[in-house]
Amino acid sequence: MENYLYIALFAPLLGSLTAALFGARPKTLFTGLWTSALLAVSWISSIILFMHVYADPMANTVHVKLIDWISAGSLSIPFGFVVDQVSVTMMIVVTTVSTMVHVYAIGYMSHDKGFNRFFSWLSAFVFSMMVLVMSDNFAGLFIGWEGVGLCSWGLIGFWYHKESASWAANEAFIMNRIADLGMLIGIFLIYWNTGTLQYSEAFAAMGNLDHVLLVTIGAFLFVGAMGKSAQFPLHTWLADAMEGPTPVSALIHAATMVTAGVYLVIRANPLYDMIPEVGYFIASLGAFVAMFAATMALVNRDIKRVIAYSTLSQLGYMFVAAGLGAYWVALFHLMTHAFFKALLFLGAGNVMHAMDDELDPFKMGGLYKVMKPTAILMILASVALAGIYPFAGFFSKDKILEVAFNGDHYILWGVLWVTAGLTAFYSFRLIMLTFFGDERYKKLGFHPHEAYPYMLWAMAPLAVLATIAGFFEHAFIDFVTTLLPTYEFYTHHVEMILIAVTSAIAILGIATAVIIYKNGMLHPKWMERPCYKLLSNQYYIPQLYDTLFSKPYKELSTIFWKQIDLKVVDATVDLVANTFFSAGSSSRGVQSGNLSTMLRWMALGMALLLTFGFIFVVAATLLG
Amino acid sequence: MLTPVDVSFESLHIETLIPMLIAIVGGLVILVADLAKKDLDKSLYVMLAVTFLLLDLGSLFQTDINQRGFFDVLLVDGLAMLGQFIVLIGSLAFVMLSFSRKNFHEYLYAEYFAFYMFMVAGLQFMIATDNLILIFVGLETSSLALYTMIAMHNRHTALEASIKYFTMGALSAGLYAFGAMILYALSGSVEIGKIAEVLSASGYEPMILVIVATAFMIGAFGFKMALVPFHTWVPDVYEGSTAALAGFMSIVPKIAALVVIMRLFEFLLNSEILWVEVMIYALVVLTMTLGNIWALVQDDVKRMLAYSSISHAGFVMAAVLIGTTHANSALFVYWLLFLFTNLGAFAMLWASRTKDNSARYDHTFEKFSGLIKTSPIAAFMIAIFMLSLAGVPPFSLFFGKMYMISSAVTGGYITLAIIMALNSAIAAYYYLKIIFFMFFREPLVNDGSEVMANAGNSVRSVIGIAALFTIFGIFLVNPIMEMVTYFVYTSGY
Amino acid sequence: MSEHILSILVFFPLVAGLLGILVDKDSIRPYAITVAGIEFLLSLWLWSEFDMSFAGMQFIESVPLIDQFGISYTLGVDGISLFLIIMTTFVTFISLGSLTITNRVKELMLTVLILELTMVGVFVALDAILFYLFWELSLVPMLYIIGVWGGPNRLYAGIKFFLYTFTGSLIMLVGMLYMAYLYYQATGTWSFSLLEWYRLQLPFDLQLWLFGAFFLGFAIKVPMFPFHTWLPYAHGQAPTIGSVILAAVLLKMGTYGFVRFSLPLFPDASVAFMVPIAVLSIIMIIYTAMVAYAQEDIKQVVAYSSVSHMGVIILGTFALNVEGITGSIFLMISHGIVSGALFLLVGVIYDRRHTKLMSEFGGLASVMPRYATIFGIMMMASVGLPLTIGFVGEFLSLLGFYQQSHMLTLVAGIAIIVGAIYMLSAYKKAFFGNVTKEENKNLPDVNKVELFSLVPLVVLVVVLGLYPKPILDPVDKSVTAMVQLMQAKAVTEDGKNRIANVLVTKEAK
Repeated sequence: MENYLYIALFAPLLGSLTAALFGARPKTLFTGLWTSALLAVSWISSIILFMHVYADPMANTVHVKLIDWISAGSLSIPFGFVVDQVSVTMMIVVTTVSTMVHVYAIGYMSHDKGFNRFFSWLSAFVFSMMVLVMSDNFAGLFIGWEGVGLCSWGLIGFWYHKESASWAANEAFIMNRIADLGMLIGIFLIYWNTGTLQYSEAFAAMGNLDHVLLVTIGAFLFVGAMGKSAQFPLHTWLADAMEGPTPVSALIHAATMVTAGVYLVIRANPLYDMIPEVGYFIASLGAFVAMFAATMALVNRDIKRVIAYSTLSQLGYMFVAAGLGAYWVALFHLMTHAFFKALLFLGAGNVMHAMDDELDPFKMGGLYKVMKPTAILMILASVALAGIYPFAGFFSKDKILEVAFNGDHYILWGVLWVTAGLTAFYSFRLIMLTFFGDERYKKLGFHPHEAYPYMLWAMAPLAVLATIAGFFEHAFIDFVTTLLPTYEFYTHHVEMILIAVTSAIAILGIATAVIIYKNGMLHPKWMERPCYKLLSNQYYIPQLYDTLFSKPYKELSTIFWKQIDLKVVDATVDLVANTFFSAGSSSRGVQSGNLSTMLRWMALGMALLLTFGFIFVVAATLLG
Repeated sequence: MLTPVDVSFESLHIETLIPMLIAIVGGLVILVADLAKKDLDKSLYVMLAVTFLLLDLGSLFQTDINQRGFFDVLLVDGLAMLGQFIVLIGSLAFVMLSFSRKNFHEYLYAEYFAFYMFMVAGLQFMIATDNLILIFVGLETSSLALYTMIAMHNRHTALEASIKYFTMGALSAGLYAFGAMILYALSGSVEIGKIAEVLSASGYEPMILVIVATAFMIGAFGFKMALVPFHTWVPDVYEGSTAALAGFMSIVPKIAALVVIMRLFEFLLNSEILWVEVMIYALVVLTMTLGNIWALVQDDVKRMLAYSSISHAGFVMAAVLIGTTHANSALFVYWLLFLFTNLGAFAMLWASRTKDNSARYDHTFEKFSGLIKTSPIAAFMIAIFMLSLAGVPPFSLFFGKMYMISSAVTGGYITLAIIMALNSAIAAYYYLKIIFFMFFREPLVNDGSEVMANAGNSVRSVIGIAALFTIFGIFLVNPIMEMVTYFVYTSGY
Repeated sequence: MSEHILSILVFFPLVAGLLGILVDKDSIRPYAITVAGIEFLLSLWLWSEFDMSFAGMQFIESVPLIDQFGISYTLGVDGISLFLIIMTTFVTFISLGSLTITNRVKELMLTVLILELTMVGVFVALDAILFYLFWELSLVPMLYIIGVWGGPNRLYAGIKFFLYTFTGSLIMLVGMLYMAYLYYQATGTWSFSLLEWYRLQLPFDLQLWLFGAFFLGFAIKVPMFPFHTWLPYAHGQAPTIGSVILAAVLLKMGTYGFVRFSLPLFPDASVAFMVPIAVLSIIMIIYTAMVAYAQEDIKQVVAYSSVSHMGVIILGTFALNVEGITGSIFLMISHGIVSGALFLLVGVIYDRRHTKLMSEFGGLASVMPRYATIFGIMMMASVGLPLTIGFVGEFLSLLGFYQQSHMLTLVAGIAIIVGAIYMLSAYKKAFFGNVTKEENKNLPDVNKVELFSLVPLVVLVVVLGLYPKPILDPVDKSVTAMVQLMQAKAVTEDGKNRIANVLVTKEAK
């Protein structure tokens, strides 16, 4: 089994490196096919591993130690990998989605001159993601953590000639770095208090640490999670990350990387079980983000950003579940979400292609006629997202609401419930604006066309999964709860009611969207409303950050350089030197070369000597 | 009623007198040779001088130390040996510089070299006695000879220098005489040893007189050592005299003065009179710091070196202040190493001396700019001497500095040690300045040929020796230390 | 022969360099490169001969130099210095190989070889005065490099560099002499031998003073805030090769000094000064990182980034536990490689455009993809991305210091953020966006010669990032021994508590 593990892990790396060799060259289709093929290999071996583990979850977890990485003092970090119920699930999700995205991207990027470079980066990302999920220690996790950060930097800024793109890339990297500091501190805490970074040993040792300490550890780790999963207040980068090519958004900023935070919380479940208060904070923050993001999605005029915000809000859902200790639910939603959200993005990609990278749905409409398959796929994905039976989203999201209710966190439940409605609304607002209503694009002179068939075929499996994944719920539970704690529901008596209520609001949302946007768009006067402005400006948070952090930082830096470093620190040094020099040049007069002055100096010297002498004698006699 | 003293010839220990006699005879021989035949070439005089100096040096090794002689006027102790040794080595080295390619006016006269020998004799007398009168005699002999030698260089600056030096010298002589008189009045003796005994017996009372005497002595030797503020003669005199002579002045007479100072202040500093220590301390700090600071702003290399040698003098005066065996040996070690480095530096100036009398300054910094292009060897030589003076290891003078500073540390003068260290840092600037000119500037119109214009072979060889000594000094430091420490220790300092 | 390997290492460049005078100036290049190459191989031979299982000094040679005063020619190497030596010879070799200067090239080659002598000397000297000798001597060739081949403002930069460091080290010299005096008082014999000094247990107050004296010497060399202002001038004016060696090796002398002298000689003082020094290094880290962000000249960005990284090194050193010190030493090596590479890269673009202003560039990624890639890798290493050489040291240093102070480490950790900020924005300015300047439109990508020097560095950056063990293990061993020594020597209660008690932690493991 070890070999399968290595194959699953290193196949993407191999692909990435081979593609990198052609990096500077113009497009060679080979790289696309090769990397996709290797990903398929990685996917197959993940499946095999899954089978293996599934056969006997307790006994068959694969655990390997490659080599020692860092060892200093009493610290020793190996390259160790583990395939257990959780990581194998993640592996399946990652490899599945990324394989599809690779295939899709062959078509999507076919006209891009950076074709090879793109696949190199994309596979590199998959590798890092695999490291992230498969490592058996926090340091390994951190490697993957930073690795995916790097790759997302490279991919967001893929079209580096665009100012906005390279800016967004840096923003993403730096914001993640801020969070990573928290993560790093968490790791330090774990090391100095448990003496190890291996998951198993560390969690075992945490049992007998004092509570406050555990809370700190949990908090710092979660800060790391907030960065990767773009939770408030570190959320702004995700929307800007949409500058990257759409497959990237599908893979990184919907299905995999952004869920790393959730994965971390799930992975650290023994820790978070011991500190429910932190868990509750996580849940509340999640709920808030869910609503917060959904509201921004309501009015946005950029299809990709709408989907990005919905991703954000779904991540909120996951954190609610994870925070409230229903880890398997979180993981379940993570999985289903990966499928339908990736699907949604790829669909959006098709639309962009059709509209020559136009993103504003208000310039579209009626596309259903020209690109039916895409439309169907996207509608399907949206339904799943909205959580309508029998699509995947229904099962997972519904469970989360149930969890919130079950924990008697009625406020959380309420928030999530409303958000469910909003979700349904904005999803279908998007659908309506894009595919139905009058064909606004005609005036603007677009000539939309359907994407290549194989791109659609690449989306198909995702569509299937988005449809049926929900039915594996029970199998899934049995599987993962052999590792994750089981979660007891006491709400069977109200289960049906809850489901009804939730589905009701979802349908309501869809209905409103359809009605409002059936023909044409929202009445312009709405857009004058302050609330609309507030939302469409993302609560003015980006501007706030700009004025609060970016600008002052830049100004302060300049001050430090021009004012402090040059005018104070350096000036003092020169001052010291110059004092000596000027002392010299000013007292040169001593050396007039005039004999009588010279003699006077000698005389003066004598005089001084004698005077001091007398003073001394007097002093001595007085003091006795 | 006086009774004739009869002393047995043996008790005179006449051999203690031999070294000085050799020097004097040498001078006389040169004069006689001149009488015998007019316009002999200078090379003869130089070689005569060299020969007698070598004899002198040899005789030095014959005399066994720690004995008095010649009516107990002469005192041949470790300090005397070391002092004379340095004086003779220095004189040898510098007289060799007279083998310059260009023939300067003073070298036409045999008297010049005769005076040279008499001066050496005078210095030796000064060193090899603790008798205030003999010290005075030696001091004056050497000084007068020196004044004349400076004057013999036919340039108005030379005459000016000579006059200034003479006038101020006269003043300092007066100071010395006065100081000595008071000491005699206090103790009824002119031998430093006895004076010390008497004074310590009397508890340095009356203190006021002791202080006045000391003050005058400080004044007198402050002049000889060029301690601030008694230094004012230095730049002009150095500038007026030839580089060879200037270099000589920066080394040889000063060691003689230093020896006397050590003899004199050894007991004064041990007296209970705090004033002495404070004054010396002040002088030391002032001298090395101000010397440096003035050196910073010079436009002429020779004047710069003049000020730097002031600073160096202040540096070694610290040893007198500290007064431990460690310090006193450090003084000699430092001076020996300084001798060769400074010899090299001044010799390089001497080598670059031209005969045009128009310019006031012979050795402006500009003259050396871009030297690395025109004559690399010379540039590297100067660089090595300058780095050594700046105290950059592994060049010899660093070890002198190090040993001196460490003596301050061991003597409990930490602050002084730090001041010394910082001064070395300041000094580095002006030593680097010339290096910058030589290596980092483009050469001026001249093709640096003139830089070695005056360098005869012997001058070159002197420079070579100095350079070798400077570079490989690190291997000579140990034997020097051993020798010096032995001598200093045996003479109880 | 291998018992004199260190002397050979030290003096081979000098001898070969002096012989080089005979070589014709058109063929001096291959000669010097060969010499540097051989020197590098010699250092590798040293590594192969080195006994990994032994923590103490190896290949010790000792010849009395000034017996009278206890100065001796004593060389030795342990895990701490071993890799610094190899790094030195390697960087010298690389930088000579990539040399593009053509005027007075012969002088330059010889100067660099003499500089190499002094650098290796500093790392192998076990006698304080010998150490000081090499330490000071290293200033001269570097001054020469700046002064002759430097930019328009080179004289000012050179004199500043020389005098500033010279002053600091003179104070250090006083400290050394005092240390020797204390040894003399204790044993009755003079000695400057470091190994002898290690045996001396000093009272607390004396430790403080001596630590201060040594601190000045080292801190200016490092350079620590606020003594850092000579560095930007030196880098700004120095030619590429000068900057490479300065950043890669000369700065490490200071940090090495802390590890070699300050910590083992004055354990309690190190503890007492830990917090102030930590604060200073935090200022270095954040403040200079921000200054770097404000720069318009890409070389200045790299220069200031060096200061910022040195801050992390100092922090790790004063963690006073094995993790931290090992990390800081590893960071010395990695920073040597990375900053060296970055300066080489800046040199590459400077040779093409004769400007270092980032505003002059932009969009280079499309013009010079290979160059952009290598620069990117080095940047990520400098930012401290895992699996690059930069991460290991930074991680260990911060990890180590975390044991001493949570808050300070939390603040110091900002390094990973600010570091990313200035590096990424610099990269963005130079490489991203559209090619605006006409003259940038067809710049040639990195050529063979440049690749010859850059590729090995890239390989090192990745390989050592993946597998730092071969370096970490010997370092770890020697550091452990040193920390035990400090623990044993500590006289104050605070010292005993603060300095990691290795034995205990080992058991915990």
